[in-house]
Amino acid sequence: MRDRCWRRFTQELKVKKRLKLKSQNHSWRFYAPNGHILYYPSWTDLIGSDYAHSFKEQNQSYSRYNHYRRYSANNSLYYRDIKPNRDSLGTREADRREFLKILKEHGLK
Amino acid sequence: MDLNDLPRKYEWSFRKDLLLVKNIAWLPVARIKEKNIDIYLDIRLHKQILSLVKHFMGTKYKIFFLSPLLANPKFSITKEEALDYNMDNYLTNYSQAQFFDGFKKLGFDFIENFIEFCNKEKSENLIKDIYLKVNTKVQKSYYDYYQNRSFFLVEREDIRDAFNSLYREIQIYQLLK
Repeated sequence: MRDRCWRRFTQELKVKKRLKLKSQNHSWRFYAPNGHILYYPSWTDLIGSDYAHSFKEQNQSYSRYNHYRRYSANNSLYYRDIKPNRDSLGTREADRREFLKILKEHGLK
Repeated sequence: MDLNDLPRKYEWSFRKDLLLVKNIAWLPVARIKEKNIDIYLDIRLHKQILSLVKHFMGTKYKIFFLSPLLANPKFSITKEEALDYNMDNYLTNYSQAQFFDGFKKLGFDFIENFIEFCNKEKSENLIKDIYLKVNTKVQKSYYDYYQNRSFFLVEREDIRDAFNSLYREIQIYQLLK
């Protein structure tokens, strides 16, 4: 199943590719996020820079959106079909809220 | 030291004594030696660094902070220049909100650590010059004519106030030791 983890992995691959392309243009000085000036920076120096957000995908593709609209828990605004099964309460958000509660009870958070 | 001894929240790996962490690429975080850990203070990896400091705070290892430029073997400079970079890096990162709040939350005395580092390198004379250089950056403001308003480069007022009285604090620490 192409889940959240897989999407994050593919996102990272795209970001890497764009960073490597972008670093070829930076032949002159580059202001690093730590306040230093670097000459001829490598692609790893661009991570965390001011325009780092531009390397990420801003838009979803139509097929991706269609899949999400059909099969996700958030497929409609008005009615949400919550089906608790086994230990899950039905949604990832509710599970996370419950998990944080348990952590706080045991003094882990 | 094994990978099992490190906090499990992030991905770590070793290249000899150099510790790396995964943040899109493998980035250098620290150099681990027999008695001390030299952490490269990098704002990009503030979460990972704070977790490392929390992990090694009460242990036998002594923590010191270095400039992330020194992690690159291509970057060749003299010892005196490296000292300047490291001391400047200590104070500039302290003006960042992530580290200012993070170390306070952990209960880690960052200024005491800075003085310890200076004593180790025997560079107490340089403290004042570097403090003045960094403080001018922190207190710097610019005027926006479109909005008729002045802005500070460091937005938070408590950090600016802390920097105004920082040198006095350093002197008190030195006197007590």
